[in-house]
Amino acid sequence: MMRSGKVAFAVAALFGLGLATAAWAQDAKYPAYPLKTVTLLSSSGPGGGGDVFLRQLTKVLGPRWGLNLVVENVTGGGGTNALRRIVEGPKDGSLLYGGNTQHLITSVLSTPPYTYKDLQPIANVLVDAPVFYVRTESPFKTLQDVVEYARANPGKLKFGSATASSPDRMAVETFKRLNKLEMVVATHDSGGQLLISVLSGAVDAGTADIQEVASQVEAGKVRILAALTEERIPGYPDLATAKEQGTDVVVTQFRGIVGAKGLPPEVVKAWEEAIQLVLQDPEYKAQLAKNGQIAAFMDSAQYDKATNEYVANISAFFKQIGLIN
Amino acid sequence: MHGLEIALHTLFTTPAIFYALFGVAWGIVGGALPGLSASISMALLLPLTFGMDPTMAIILLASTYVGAEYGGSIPAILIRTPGTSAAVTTVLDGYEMHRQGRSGEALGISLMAGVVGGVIGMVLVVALTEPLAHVSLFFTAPAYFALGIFGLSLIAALSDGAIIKGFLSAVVGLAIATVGVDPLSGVQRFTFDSVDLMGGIEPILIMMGMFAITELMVQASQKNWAKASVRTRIVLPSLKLWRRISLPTFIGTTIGTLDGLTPGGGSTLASFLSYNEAKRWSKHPEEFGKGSPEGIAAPEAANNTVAATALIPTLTFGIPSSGSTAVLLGGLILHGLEPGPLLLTKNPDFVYGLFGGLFVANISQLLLGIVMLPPCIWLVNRPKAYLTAIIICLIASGIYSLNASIADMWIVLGAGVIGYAMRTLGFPILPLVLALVLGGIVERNYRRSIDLSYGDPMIFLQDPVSAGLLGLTVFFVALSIFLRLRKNAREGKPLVASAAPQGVSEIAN
Repeated sequence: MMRSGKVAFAVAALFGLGLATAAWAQDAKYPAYPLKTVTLLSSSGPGGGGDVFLRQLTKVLGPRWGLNLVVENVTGGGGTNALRRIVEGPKDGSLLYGGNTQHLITSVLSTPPYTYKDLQPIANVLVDAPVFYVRTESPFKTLQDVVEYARANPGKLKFGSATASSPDRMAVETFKRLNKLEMVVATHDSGGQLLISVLSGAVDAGTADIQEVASQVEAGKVRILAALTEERIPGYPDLATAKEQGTDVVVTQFRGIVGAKGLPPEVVKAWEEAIQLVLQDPEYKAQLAKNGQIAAFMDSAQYDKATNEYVANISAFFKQIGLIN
Repeated sequence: MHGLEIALHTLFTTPAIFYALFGVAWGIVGGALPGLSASISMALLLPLTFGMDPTMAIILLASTYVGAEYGGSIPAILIRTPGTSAAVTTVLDGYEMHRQGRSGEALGISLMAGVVGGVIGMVLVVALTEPLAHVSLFFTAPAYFALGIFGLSLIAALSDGAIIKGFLSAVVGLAIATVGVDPLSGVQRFTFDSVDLMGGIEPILIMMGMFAITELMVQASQKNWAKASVRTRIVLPSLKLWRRISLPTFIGTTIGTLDGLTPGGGSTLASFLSYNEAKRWSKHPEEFGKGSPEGIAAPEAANNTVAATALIPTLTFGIPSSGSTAVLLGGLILHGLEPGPLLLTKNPDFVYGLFGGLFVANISQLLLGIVMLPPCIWLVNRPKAYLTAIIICLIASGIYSLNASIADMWIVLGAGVIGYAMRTLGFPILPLVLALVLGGIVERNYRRSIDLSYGDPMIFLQDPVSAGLLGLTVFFVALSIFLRLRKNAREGKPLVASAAPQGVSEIAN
């Protein structure tokens, strides 16, 4: 129920970047850009997933590219407020959106004044790495154990997911459908609340991005059963994917750069090149590894295609569970 | 005593004390501005901390939280506007004391209760983080449901004698709580396809409308505007007063401690519960709502204790229990600290440094409060015509800063008009606010529990915490009915006959 506040941070972020710029030299490999300052909007509040993504990206990319990249938080309306600023704003490449899947879900679930169709995907940067996990006391060691238990005890297994209209829940519902299981899918108000439920044994298993449970794994409180990614998560070579364990559940949570329709082609091209370069940067690579996030560059055309596929999938899922007609 | 050494070392070799002071001062201002909540005050500072040392950054943010929880009581007392939603019960007796010309005394009580609550909270955090973290794990869906029901049982107590009207108010509150995306299925309810309503109606909007806007309307319609006291000095509680408010402060601290540990409880619930318990155990329950010092001490001790103990789930599980700790968590992650069970082992310098800084923050509230409050009292004693206009501006800009939403302004103004009608007709407002805060908690946790048990309601009795809380609810309700019956019997009046005409006459009014 809680919506975090929308606050403008332009001045503060400029200040922060000013310090960072001094410390790092510019890299000549980066493409030319028609402007000196670019504002990137985040639809999540300071400290939220989308905000952390942009701030970590701009911290490395800004100095290397020699651009002043400013992050501004425009929250509210499930991404709609940020979309409005983008679509109604200048289309010269000075105002872009740090896109995730939130505005796609809002576009599908309601009829906001602007939708993802008014936007042009520019370049995807990374995908988050979601997992299924249990507490250490749990008897389940692999995903197959969970499936077998649920088959043998119809209706006994309680599987937790985060909010009701989240990609997380889609993953759990897909797991249930593919294995034809009879089990409870318990939605929670947040990933944190779900973690409490799993740790206390109120639910048998849960789903989260790997960095959300990494510290619990290290402390020996949580065991990860499967990665919900196409390939194994870098840095976790021993963690089998759900696909390898017989259930093809893959959740893709994109994070990339998006702009309004009608941007100059050279702006799009410059960002495509710059994102490819920053993904090779050792400093940014180390940051991704620490977050448990996976570099996943897509150019504008690929990103557009992936976005449309995602919208088709999530629409089908929402229809199936009765959220939309 | 290793930890103490680190804490002292941090305090004396780094600018930690400066950051703690600045954070508290900024928090008091943020909390005092209506609408600018603790979490937004912290979010505003977050980008400024990027270049800073992580320990200093988190001390700054956490001190802001401490200051804001206190700051929220300033407008609650002076202009009948809860600055933060946890200060809503402070309005009742605080504003009443202000009207009696005892503003300085009310602010002094709120300040001292806050400092005591905050310091005790920090002692608990330092001494008992490990065992207290386990308390969080006992609170699962059935327990939250029972906690919500326990909270709702306060409706009668908050109704000022007009029980039927109180229940009607509460029903309206419960109805408002259903607006938005249904938390379990994701279906939209009463949103009329509006993006603004998808997230639901935040209780703070209703509170600002029903308290602040309503009060301004009442003030504007009065011919002889009340002249408040002109004394601007803060009066700290005397030893005699301390004897009186030590029990409610203790009650507030206890409830606040538990509340900080339970992600999802919300510090607003803590202030309601502690207000009610303070009234129940008070020697002068009849003074509550008419300017009782105990009615300020209990909720203010509670919300400052929450600001301390809420650190436990945030640091040990990485789970924020409120919007404010969510910003704090974001700050930890941005500064490369990994909240979780190993934080203390891996970063003892950070953890003990933070604790040291927060002790300073809690104690420095006292000093900053004494310096910052007299100008506030002076301000609210300006001619009412100017004051009213400025308060409207403050509220409007505060609301807009929450979500940058014009729709929120209409909600506040609408709530103000409805609040005015309710006040004129003698409907109590607090049951509505309480029901709005608890409606969501009760509903989603009831449905989640029932889902988990395959429709078996016995889950509420099998869960020990839930069973205990429900038992307590039944006990207190039964006790108050019994006491009422006995009182009526002594006065020779049958219960039904005495209650019914009273209710009827209230509706007729």
